[in-house]
Amino acid sequence: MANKNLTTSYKVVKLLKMLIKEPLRMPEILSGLEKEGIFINKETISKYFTTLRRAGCKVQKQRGKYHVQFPILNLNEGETKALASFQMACESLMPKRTSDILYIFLIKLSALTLSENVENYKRIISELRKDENFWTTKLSKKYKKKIELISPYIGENPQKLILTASGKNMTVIPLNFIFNKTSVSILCCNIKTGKNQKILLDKIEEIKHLPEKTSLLDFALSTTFKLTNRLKDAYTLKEGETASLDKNSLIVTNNRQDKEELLNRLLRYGTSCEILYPKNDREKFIKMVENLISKKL
Amino acid sequence: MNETLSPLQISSTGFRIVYLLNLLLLGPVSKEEIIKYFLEKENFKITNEEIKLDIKTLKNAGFLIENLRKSGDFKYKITESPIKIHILKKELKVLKTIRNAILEVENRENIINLYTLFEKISNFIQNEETLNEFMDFGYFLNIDFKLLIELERLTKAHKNVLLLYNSPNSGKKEIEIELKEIKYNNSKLYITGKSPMYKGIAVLRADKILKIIKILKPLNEIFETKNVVFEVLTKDFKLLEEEIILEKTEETTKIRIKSDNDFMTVQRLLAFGEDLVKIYDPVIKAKYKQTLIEILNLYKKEEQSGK
Repeated sequence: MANKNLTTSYKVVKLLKMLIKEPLRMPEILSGLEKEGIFINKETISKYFTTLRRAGCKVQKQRGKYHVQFPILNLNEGETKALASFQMACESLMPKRTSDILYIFLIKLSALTLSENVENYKRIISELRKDENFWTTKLSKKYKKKIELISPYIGENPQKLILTASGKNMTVIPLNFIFNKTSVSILCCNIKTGKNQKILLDKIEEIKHLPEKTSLLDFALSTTFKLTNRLKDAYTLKEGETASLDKNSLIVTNNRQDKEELLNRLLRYGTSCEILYPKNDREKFIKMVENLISKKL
Repeated sequence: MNETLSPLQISSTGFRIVYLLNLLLLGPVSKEEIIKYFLEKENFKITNEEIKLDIKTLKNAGFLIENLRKSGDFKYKITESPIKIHILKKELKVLKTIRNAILEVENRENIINLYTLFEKISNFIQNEETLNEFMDFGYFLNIDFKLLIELERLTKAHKNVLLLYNSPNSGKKEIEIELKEIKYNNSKLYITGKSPMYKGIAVLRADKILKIIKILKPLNEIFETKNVVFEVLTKDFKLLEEEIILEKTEETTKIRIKSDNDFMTVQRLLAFGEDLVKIYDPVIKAKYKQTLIEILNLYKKEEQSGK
């Protein structure tokens, strides 16, 4: 039943809310509003569309469906530049299909963004594309080919590769890229040693894909360590780490870091950290500490 | 409204409420700001009563709006935006990869801009799990950026300030500190300076600073820094802001670090693990060795108690 007490502003807002949620055909709009007790005709809807447009909304009709976009994201100059650098980093360093995925996200974002911001963004990105000194341009020249070759084998189900680095062949599971200002490395699990290691892309001479799929057994064993004292409360989990907290310590499991880098990092935590398992990592760590004590520095 | 559209073409009350909603979605806004904005941008006079009425209508239409009271200058704020974007799994993966690359490479100012951008976008992300992954900025998490920007400004001027600090050991306390520098070390941001409450240089975690209570009279402390020289195997490593390379051969790299805190310098040296070749400063060398002995004792003690 029609509710005569509903104001025009209420009806316009209801229409807006409905069309932000999903694109609808005219009959669907009318019946959707009727369910809310709003009985209006096509002409009134058309008047409301003009009202919405006038108030800054984008009302579009695509394949017979009406959709409303509400540009409400206002970016300042710094944020716009940050987004442009973000896109540049992706375009310069990642394969085309990755840039295409980012592009889809940017289109969604542009629908929310104020039109003057979008124009500013286009200007900044075109300037960055011409900038030979931008950090991604230099890295791109040096590494893009190798990144493109390795990228397809990283992901939810990574695949085994044979890498020839510094003259040595090794079978690895590539996990992710690690970027630095002047170099790019690949973090991978070395199947023979069962350890995660970081390899500089400069050192990789050849990449071959193995037809075998990876199994859980191929991955490196996680390292579990205990944090105590103030580090227990102050520690920030790194990517891929999980933790459980008890009264006196924080137990952290790490399975994504280069093993050597991880042991060095844990050394830095001093007496607030103790490696629990695997036994092999614990022993290796003790050996490293002993070597450093006896080393003539 | 600038352009004149006849009442047959447009609903003026409809325009008013959608325009008001637009303003609210851009951020918290007060009645005075709304009136000013309508008048300046649209030449449209809106009264206090009309604002109240429209806010009530928006609430009836399902928008969650709160008044921030005195502490928030009586601004109106939309607590949950109805406008959402859905980020696909593959999009999130790309966003995370690029974000992590930028975190490693870009300077602090650009990272802060990227963080505030992501924070704005996060208001429109539908799924909570996606939101958490999207906003995982590691060490930047939990830092109040407005506070950090203010601290950067005060640090450049070496101001003496009173901070409210949430110490991991002793909880909330007030600390007087003459600011020296902000530095990034061990994946965290630190504020350093001279404090009458600490021996030597005080080092505070930036994410634990809750508030700048006030600016105090200068302590006029002279910041003592010493140069510590060490040598490491030549590998792919990241230099800290306070480090410079003195010499580099194919085998080793000689680095000088400007040190104002022995503890942090020792931590830095420990992070090189077995790649550390030489420490030239005898005091730091002794402290470094002592830390290693303490670590070894911890393991030996555990093993003995295990037996």
